[in-house]
Amino acid sequence: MATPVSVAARASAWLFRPVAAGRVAWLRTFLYLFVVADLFVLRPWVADNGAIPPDLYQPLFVGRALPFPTPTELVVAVVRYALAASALVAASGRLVRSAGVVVFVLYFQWMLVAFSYGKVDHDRVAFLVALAVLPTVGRARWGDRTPTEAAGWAVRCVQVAVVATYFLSAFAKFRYGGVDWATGATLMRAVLRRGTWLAEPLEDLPAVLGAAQWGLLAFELATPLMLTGGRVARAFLVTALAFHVVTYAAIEILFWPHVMCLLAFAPLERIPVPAWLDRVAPARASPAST
Amino acid sequence: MLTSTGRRVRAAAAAAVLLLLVWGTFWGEDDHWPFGPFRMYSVRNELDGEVRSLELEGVDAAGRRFDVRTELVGLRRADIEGQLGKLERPPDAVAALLARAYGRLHPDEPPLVELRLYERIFQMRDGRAVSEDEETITTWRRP
Repeated sequence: MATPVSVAARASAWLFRPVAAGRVAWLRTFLYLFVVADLFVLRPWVADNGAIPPDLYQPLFVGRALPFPTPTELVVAVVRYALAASALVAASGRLVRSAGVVVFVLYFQWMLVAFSYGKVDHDRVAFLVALAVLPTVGRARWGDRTPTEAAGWAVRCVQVAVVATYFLSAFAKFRYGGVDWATGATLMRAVLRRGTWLAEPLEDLPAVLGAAQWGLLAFELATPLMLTGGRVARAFLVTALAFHVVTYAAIEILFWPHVMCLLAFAPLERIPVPAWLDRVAPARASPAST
Repeated sequence: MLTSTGRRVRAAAAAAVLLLLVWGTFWGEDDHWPFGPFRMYSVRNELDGEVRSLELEGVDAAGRRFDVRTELVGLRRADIEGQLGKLERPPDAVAALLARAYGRLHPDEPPLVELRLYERIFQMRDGRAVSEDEETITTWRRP
């Protein structure tokens, strides 16, 4: 019989199930290096937002409620380079708490800039959650197989945020598109607006896109199963990756930061640490210093 | 391992964020980012409806007429569509501001003397495009 106490105890055990600290170490390296790639390679146009006349700037609620400055070329440049510097420090495993917090705050500011000119993206929430929780774990070395609850909680938060992105987006479809969203022409619109040459044949196959819409909805609603672990979770992970690859091939959209967070489901602690990387890593943490 | 306070704080924080995300899905809007709804591709398009896509075409001082990728004016197509749609800014003002942005971002290029905002319009029937058309929204000319 499930009493409230036993349910809470099981939930707590699930939320804090220890995970190897090495997974957090690699997650940090990948995600913080991704921040640098995002700034200069993937979305360099955000830096151009500073050159846009401020008449086009329409800050979001957080940008109005908190004292974030109006983006000018100087503001944007300062944020960009401070963010890159702190991300590189954090990626190396050093100053993970302070550099990690700086990265979170500045990346949040960077996204507020990007989203205040008419379009808000919806692929960043899991990544922001990751940036928020990674500094809470303390020092972690690549290859460290010691399981800790701090690492377990952080990884679990990222996993839940990834699942929430898929699961809640199904309800957004019901809210904005109606329960009959899957019978409409949403994917066809995407292909017509920005389809690649690979997607061209789909312009004559509305039934295929319609079936894909049903499949997508079914996948999104089932994603909480990713949190159960084991073979089911792995199957979902593969399906998610396949979905993102196909989407990129068809309409050249890749939800990069979200896809990076799928790494939280992988046993990164098993990645072999080459000798040169081991030499670059910070000194082993003593129990008192984490 | 974590202390019991450490666990309680973390559990509460996780629950709070999750609750805010659920709130955002049902009652929030884009303005509440990051706690807004995950509304990517959520709008249902009619099988017999229209699909519109904003494009820019420019003429520079050297007389060259060219398609202006929106990245050249520092924005994405969805940003400009948002300015005209959701934010309801007047098209003439937006075109003038985009022309100015082009000048700031490409000071070594010949300036724009004309910038046309137009839409490609696909007419759909049974979920398939049957015709393609074009409609100018506004044309900015350098005074």
